[in-house]
Amino acid sequence: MKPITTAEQPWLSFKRTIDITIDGIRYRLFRASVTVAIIILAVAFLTNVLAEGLIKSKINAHVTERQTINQRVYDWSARLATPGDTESLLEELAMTKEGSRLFRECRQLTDMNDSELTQLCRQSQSIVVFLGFLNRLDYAKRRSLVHTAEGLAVLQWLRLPRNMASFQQALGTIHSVKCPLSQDELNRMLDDFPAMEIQLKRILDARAQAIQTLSRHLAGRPLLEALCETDSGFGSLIRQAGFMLDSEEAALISRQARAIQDELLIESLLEVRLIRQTRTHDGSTSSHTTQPVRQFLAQASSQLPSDVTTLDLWTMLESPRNARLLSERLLEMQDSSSASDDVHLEALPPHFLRAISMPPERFVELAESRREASSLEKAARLIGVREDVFFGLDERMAWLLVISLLVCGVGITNAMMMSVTERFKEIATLKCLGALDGFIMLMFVLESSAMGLVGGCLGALFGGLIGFIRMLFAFGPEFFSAMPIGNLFLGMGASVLIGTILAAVAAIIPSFKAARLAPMEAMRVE
Amino acid sequence: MTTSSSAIDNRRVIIRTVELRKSFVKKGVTTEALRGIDISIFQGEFISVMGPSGSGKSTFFNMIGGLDSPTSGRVFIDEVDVAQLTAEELAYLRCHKIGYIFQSYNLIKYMTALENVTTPMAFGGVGPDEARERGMSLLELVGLKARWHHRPIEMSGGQQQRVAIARSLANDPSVLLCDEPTANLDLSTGQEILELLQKLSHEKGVTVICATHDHRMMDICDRLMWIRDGKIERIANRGDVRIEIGGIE
Ligand SMILES: Nc1ncnc2c1ncn2[C@@H]1O[C@H](COP(=O)(O)OP(=O)(O)O)[C@@H](O)[C@H]1O
Ligand SMILES: [Mg+2]
Repeated sequence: MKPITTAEQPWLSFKRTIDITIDGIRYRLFRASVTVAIIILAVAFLTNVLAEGLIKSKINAHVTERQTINQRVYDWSARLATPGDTESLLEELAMTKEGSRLFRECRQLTDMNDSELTQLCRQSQSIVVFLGFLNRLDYAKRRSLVHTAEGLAVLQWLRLPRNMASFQQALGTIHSVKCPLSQDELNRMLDDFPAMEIQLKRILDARAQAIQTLSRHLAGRPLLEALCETDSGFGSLIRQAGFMLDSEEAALISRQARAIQDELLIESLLEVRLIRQTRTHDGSTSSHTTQPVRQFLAQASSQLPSDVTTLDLWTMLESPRNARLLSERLLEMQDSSSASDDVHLEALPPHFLRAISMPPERFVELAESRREASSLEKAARLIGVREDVFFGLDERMAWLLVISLLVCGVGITNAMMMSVTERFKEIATLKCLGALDGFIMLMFVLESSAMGLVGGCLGALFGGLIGFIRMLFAFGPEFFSAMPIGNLFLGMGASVLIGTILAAVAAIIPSFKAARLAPMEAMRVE
Repeated sequence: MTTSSSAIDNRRVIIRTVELRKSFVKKGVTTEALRGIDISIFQGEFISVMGPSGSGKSTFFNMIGGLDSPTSGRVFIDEVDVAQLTAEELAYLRCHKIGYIFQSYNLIKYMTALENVTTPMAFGGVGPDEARERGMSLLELVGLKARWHHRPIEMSGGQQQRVAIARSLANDPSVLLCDEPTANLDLSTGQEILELLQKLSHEKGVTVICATHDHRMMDICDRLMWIRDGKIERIANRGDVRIEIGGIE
């Protein structure tokens, strides 16, 4: 008979612990599946919020990029029409860097060298930062700092020592306001400003000069029309005047300008009139006027001819078949007008009749690009003004995320607490058999993490999928290619991880309590 | 203490309690479950603890089994003060030195008979192959070798209790604590369990401490102890009791 000696109990092997845990889960499959369902819901919500945030921020970037490309022709027509003012030039310079288009253009227009220009950009940056700081202040604070001065006049105002002193004093008393520039930087900025202003003026003057040269060449021709030839003659004129324009940009601009012009031509088709003169037997003539395109559209969409809008026209032209039909109809009319002296087509102004001979493919192409532009606009409207706080989520969504995490945590903790409570007797028995407190805890934490993993995977899948489908429906299938699939999977992975960790952490408290219970106390609970 | 024959006085004391008291406080009401128990239990003896329901038998068991701590007084197991043990040492004690048998069997529901028997071995650090072999021979000992893969719900009460006995013997303990092992069983099944315990006590030399209402226990135990209201009412050797009962009847 061996004597009783006390020694330390060894740890149960990890494999055996897992075996026991899995057996336990299998035995209580129903309870486990309820817990897993809670986790699925919570993680699905989490993933959904995350996925939709990611998708929206990606689509936002996509839309902004597409829109700036589509706006290039407008940028250029503004650039070629007016030199801009000092403040807008300052902002442009503050955002540019060495080697950019604007940088090279300024170098070419004026005879400033690189270092002068780089310095000018840096100085512009600090001015923009300073003015931005003032603009974000509320009225009372702003007034106490710079009185009523606005924009660049602020710098003028601050140059008076008396004003600077009051600015400094006010800054000292308002503790919530922190000026982004130090006193030295501020002084340097103010000292540099007069010289800067001269440089800025030089740039603006040079621009005005270039614009003037160009408009002499245009000789009254509309700018849009000229822009259609940016890829050939007009492009070199622009370059000669001193602007920077590479051939890629030139091609883009002329394409966009042509599209705008053709759109106008096509839209004018609605107003084309067909005039038919008939001679009555007594020798007098009467004329009969119709608007054939309006009539054609009215038939196709069963409306009154006067109700037909350009929108109907474009919608119809999206279909190649309709485009061909319209084109055939137009050519027919043209033929009949040239065959007979009594019939003729008329449009105001006459060159709009050019639209009749456009190939139907062009109709479709323009209709489609219009649809793309309108879907981009719709997407931009859907996304609205957003300020990313976290992972492409705005503040409200970030809050929702935090709350969903809490729901997830509380749900899992509650489920684990119930699971532990109903297993008191089992815990007590295991302790009687020599289980260490650590083993009991590990068993529950493992169980909970396993459920967290399963629930997390399913939840992430559901949440991600629902978010994806919802966003696809909201923005339309055109945005399929803009979906951040890789990031989506990353987000889903993160959700699985969060679900698992949350489940494991949620199990720690109840299992710690259970493990610490004296065996017979636990046994008594039945 | 009235009786204690000189024949067993020189044997080794395996469990000793000194002034053992336990009171429960619930909602301000104090229940004194044990009110000073002093007893020495010798190695290899079969002692039966009798007393009406609520007299403190289970509480006494939990104290000497290291399952709960006394309000005052001491429990020595093999001259080691249980109160001095760390959680790990207590786990070791429960795993290797004491086997527990409960009125309601307390098998782990999701484990087979064999797994139930081998779990304490795993806790004790026995490898899976050896555990399996030993588990099977223990199941054979209780006559359930053929049902090693059955889960508790697939077995009768008596069979479950026999698995519990096999489990309590897993790590070859010195002491077997049985809290009313036959209370949930019918008469003949109870009889089988009692015979099994007696056999174990004789063949393996295990100290068996058995709380019971069952009067048949008197026939198989070496010593009897009566508890009433948390106090030892009487301790007697089996031989003496027989004579007394005979005298009364
Ligand atoms: N955890 C507890 N809380 C309160 N009272 C208890 C507790 N455990 C036991 N008791 C009381 O202690 C007394 C002894 O109980 P117990 O040891 O279970 O008796 P027995 O096993 O002999 O039936 C009873 O009066 C019971 O009500
Ligand atoms: Mg009892």
